[in-house]
Amino acid sequence: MATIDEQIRELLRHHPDAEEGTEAGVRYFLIPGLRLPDGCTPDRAAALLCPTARDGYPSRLFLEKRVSCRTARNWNVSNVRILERNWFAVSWRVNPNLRLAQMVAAHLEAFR
Amino acid sequence: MTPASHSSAEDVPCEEAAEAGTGGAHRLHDPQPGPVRVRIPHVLFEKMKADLRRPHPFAAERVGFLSVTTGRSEGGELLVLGIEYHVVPEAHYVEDHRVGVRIGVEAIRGALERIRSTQRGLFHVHMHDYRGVPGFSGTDRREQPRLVESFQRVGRRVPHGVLVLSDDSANAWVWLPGETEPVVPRQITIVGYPMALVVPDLPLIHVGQPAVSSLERFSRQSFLGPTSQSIIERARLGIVGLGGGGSHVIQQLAHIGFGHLCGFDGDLADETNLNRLIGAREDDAKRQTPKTEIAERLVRGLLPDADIVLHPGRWQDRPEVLRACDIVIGCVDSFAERRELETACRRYLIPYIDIGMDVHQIGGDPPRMAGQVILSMPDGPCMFCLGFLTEERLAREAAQYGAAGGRPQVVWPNGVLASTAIGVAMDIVTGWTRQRDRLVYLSYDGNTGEVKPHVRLRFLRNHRCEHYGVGDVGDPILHRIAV
Repeated sequence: MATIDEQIRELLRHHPDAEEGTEAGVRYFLIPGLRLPDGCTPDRAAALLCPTARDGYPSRLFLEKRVSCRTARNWNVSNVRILERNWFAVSWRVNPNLRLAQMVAAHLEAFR
Repeated sequence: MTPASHSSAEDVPCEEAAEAGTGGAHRLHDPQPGPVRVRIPHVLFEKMKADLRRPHPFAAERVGFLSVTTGRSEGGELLVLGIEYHVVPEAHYVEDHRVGVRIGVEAIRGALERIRSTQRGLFHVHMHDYRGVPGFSGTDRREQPRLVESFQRVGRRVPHGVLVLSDDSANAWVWLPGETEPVVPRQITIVGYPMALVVPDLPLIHVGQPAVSSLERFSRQSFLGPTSQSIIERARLGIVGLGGGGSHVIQQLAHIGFGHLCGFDGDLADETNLNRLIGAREDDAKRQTPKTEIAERLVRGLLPDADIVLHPGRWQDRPEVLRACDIVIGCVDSFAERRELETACRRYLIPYIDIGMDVHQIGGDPPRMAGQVILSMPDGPCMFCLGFLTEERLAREAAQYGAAGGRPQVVWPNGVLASTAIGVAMDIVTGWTRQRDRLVYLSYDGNTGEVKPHVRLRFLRNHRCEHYGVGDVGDPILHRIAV
């Protein structure tokens, strides 16, 4: 398993603008203007990766707004407030043993 | 120490200021109130006092520095939030009997380095050891602006200032970013149990001025303290959720005379609410009156001129309104909402009181009605520390997202829980029971009618929060990642 620093370096290779912040002891990664899969409207959105368990999901990817994509999704989080911003998320479960960059990619599969 | 004998002249800051090319002395006259609120956790306030009261081998008094972070509340008002106190080491004092205290260049360099490295505001702190709102001396007016100028040189985008403490109160001058003249905060709050709510431009609020309005109406609650009604009229309370619990809460706050209220609820009244929604009438269900409108009618019937901000939506849409509150009472349905509210309140150093109830039935047993009242004080245990919020509970709730059916709700347990929460809020605001640093996690057994301290309090390992830290106070800071 890659160390957290290795995972972060990999995340930065894919998302050079990524930033980090913590809230209540939980580390989050903000990816401004994350490119969403083809067919999504809008095609980019700010995203917040929570790489640890939250609400029964091993990890979550929050988006700044609901996006429309080819497949209807269950948006079971609306306007949840994290790091003083409102976020939205679909119900989407990914493998818990992924690296950070892989997590982002796996969550984006929900929007294909 | 009297203002005449108080002298916190530090010549060293002048050297720093000269190095930075800021020019000569600039004596202040009377700073005016500005759009600023200062909040300091009670634990931090006590820590500062304990340090500043220590006798010094040669100086007549001690000084220190307070790091602050910030936030914005309603109307662009700046929240200045105390987070960390820095003791000036013994070796950094300079012996000079012409002044009460002088600190050396190392102390100032340390302060400037702290600003530079954290990009947080810094306040010079000293103390006048008496009760009531302390004032600033002539020396403060002459010397402190030069010190703050040097702070501004290294931390341009954050507020800096001067804080003077007394035994039970505080006063401050705040230099907003880019400003050469300070302002006096509209309010300084020592956030704790009880809370000290100081209005520097109305110093009598803390030394016995009776409330000027409605003395007769509130005469039966004057036992709460000679200044209680003026504090009640000043304090701003927020209620999130104006349904079964929140409608009781806002009604009681109006009866008590709270003149500044804000509330949030996006729901409309319907027939199923009439069994418990205080203030609701039959026609409200027919017309689907917003719950905020029912709450406003309730309050205006008692306090026609009250300053009420009621938002017919979620608090997350108007977080700046919530941030201006001195206490927030949450009457929400879900654990996830409680987590968000607690996080927001801790971020802006606001005591959060949570109430809730539920009815469960297992098999053929009679229904069990249970509820809770929890106080989440910014520097005390949070709802995770108390075991009320757990990741498992949040996960279970998330898994039931969208489950159909209204949960059982009745009027009387809401009344018990709301009244209990109001009792806690009143003690925080007025301190009438003289309890200090009280931990509140009360459990309600609706079947027996008992309200008692939750058993978990006995097993609490310590009274400090293990989940929220200094970094969780103020507007969040996101960092570019460096590995």
